[in-house]
Amino acid sequence: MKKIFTTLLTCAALLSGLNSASVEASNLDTYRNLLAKGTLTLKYENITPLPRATNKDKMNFYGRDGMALEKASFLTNRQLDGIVVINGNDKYEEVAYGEHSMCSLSKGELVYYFTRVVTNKNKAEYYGTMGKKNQVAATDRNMQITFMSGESYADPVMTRLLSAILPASQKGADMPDYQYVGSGWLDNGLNYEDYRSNNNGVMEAVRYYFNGYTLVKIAAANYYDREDGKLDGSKFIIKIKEFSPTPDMSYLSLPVGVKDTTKKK
Amino acid sequence: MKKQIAAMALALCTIASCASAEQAAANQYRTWFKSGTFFVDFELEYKDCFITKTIATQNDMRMERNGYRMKGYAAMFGGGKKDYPDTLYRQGKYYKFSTKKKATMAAWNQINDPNIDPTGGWNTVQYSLAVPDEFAPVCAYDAYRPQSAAMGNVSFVGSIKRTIDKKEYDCDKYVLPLRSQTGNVLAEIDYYYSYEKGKLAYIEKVILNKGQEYSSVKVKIKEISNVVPADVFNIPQGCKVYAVGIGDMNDLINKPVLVEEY
Repeated sequence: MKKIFTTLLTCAALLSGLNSASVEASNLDTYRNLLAKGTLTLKYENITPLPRATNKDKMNFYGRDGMALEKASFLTNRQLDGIVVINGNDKYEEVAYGEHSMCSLSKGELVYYFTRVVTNKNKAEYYGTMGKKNQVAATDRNMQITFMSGESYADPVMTRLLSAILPASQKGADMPDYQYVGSGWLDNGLNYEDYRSNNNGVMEAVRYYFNGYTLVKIAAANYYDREDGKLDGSKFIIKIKEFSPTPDMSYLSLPVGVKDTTKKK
Repeated sequence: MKKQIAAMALALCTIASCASAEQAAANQYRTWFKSGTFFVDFELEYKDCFITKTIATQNDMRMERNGYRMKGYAAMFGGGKKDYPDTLYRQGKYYKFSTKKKATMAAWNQINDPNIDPTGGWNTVQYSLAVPDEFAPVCAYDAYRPQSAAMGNVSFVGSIKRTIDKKEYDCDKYVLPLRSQTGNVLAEIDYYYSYEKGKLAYIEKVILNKGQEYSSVKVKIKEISNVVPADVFNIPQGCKVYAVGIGDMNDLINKPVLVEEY
């Protein structure tokens, strides 16, 4: 398995080496600059199958419709919908799974964590960390983690795959280190850039797909040796719906009807 | 001339105060933390709550006990303290207590088992036993703390006076750089150790980046000692200890196996 993977990677590197001359300046530079500058709106779908949540995953058809599969509201392998909006020190992150969303709104040193549930009547209800309806309170943002592990971009996979393109001088020494491998064109008219990393025994290959100059998809695969000597790995697929330099300001304040119950010092 | 002398005197005073040695107790704490026998009791103050924490270690055993209190409310149960640990490491086994009467146990070599119950947080069990990095100036290395390449070495800057809640303390300042993959400093952590009558009273941590200060946690020290109470590593009488689920049949039918009873 390991050999096959290595061969594939080598082939990819060689092919991309041949084609790299055909792609001019790196398409990722635009996105790298957006991340560094901190003004952006990003909407995506993480269509990677979810990792195992419990040892009883096969019984995961729960939700308000119980075992009625055709109308189950909480099924496995549904995509995660992510939103990231950044404007300087303000940031909104959301990961939605069906009608359930986990959201966080950072305002400078403060951060509000809340969930949004869309009810049967198609109405949004918000719950803060104290579980009270439409009431949220801010907590201190952990700036040490932000400087050591970099900014988060909604879910952990998106965070890792976007942080991968940042220059090493902006990434904490504990973060995975990714190297540019090459770029090229595909038969379907898309072009791509490849990156790879080998950190703490985890080998990862990442491909960023572009339609012209626009980032449209990110795919990654990694593998590693488990403690029992067996090889294990994961894949990640992300579809980019929007990645623009204009922050959508409507996300950068608490939703209408939500009360801020933060205690004043 | 008078002005010059005054300026020189002021400069000398400033140099003298910067160069002043750190508090004698700091080295004492360093020795205790290094010896592998210590007892620490402290309270972390966040924006909306307090978290109390006790960490003790002796003879290759480690325990941690914590409590939570919202600001503006008195401690629950009349401030009574738990008399059993939340997390315990003893004789190669990790124990997590859900109540005084019920605990789950995982052997050290099961922690990284890919089939271990993923909802139990066992892959980070040792971090809850760690002495937090607020103590880095006196406890630079702790086997339970996650090791970080980004966190550089702590260096002593000097002694100052610091006011906390309208009271002035003798304070030692330390600096720790957070480094990038190319070695440049991304941010800096400033630790302020405030002493009262020669004993550490408060630790304050401030993150500094591009001239902007981000206040972080404040730690109120209740006790640091090398005398460990004999009973802190005890599992309470009547406690039933169950084996952690590792994807076997008992795990799947939700019938954990009773492995120890006290």
